[in-house]
Amino acid sequence: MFADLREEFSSNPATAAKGTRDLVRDVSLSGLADVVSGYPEVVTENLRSGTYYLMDLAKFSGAGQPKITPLFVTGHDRGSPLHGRVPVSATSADRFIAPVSWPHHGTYLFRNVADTIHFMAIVPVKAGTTDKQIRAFFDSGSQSQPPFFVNGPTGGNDVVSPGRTIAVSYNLPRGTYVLLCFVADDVTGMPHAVMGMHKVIHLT
Amino acid sequence: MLAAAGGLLALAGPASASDHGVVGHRVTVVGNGSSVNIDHTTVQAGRVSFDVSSTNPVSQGNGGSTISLFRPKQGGDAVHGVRRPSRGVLK
Repeated sequence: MFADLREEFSSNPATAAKGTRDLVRDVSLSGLADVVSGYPEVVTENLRSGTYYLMDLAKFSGAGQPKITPLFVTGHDRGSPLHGRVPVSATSADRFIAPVSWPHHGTYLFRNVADTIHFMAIVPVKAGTTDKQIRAFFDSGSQSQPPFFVNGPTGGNDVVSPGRTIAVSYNLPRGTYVLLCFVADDVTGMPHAVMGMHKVIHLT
Repeated sequence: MLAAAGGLLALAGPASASDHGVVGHRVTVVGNGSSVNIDHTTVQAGRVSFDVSSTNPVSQGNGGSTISLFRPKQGGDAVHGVRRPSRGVLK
């Protein structure tokens, strides 16, 4: 697992691509959340019995091993359908299918309908930012801070395995945001965002 | 993966000491950027809600928590060194 993770964090595209493929093969990932102080989220999902682990990768650089916390799930309940006002699908074409306008607080239902892993960061951007501008920035190969980013709280969910669904309740300031996934593509090793997995949305 | 799993015992962080019994379907999760605290180590299967927050301050666009929940596909209950609580604890 950690060998896969280190590979996925590699700056070498071929190694990163292998890391993604191995994570899909070896691990079932169920979110949870990407949060900042003062902006908590509630993540709801169906879990079967077994031993799960949690880790916080915010400070993880790709070297060493992150600290993990076990969670034991017991019993035979298989869960029930999840609900969310905002449907989001992450696809094999490395795209988000989601509405353009969301309530600034509510619940989105994140479905990974792809054959690879995806996450979804919700990042504030300047009003008027378009997906065309974001695409142009990624196409430029620039390594500098994107000019359309603005300071503000972020949200979203962490990595979800193919076929899994989670419901995420959030509360963020109104404004313009972009949905981003930076998982390395399982063939090219390029971040999904660079391959087009970005979508500008408005929280109203 | 199996080789990496061998080191999990040393890595496994403690849950909060407040409660180690089975809860219904809600778990509080707090990250500090490098580790996670949870208020229960055991939860019932089915629909589970996680209240997720971070104590890691944001500075110059970096900070917060990136919290993953995962389960190895092979040997999920056989990760070395991490044992399930006894049934007496679970009741």
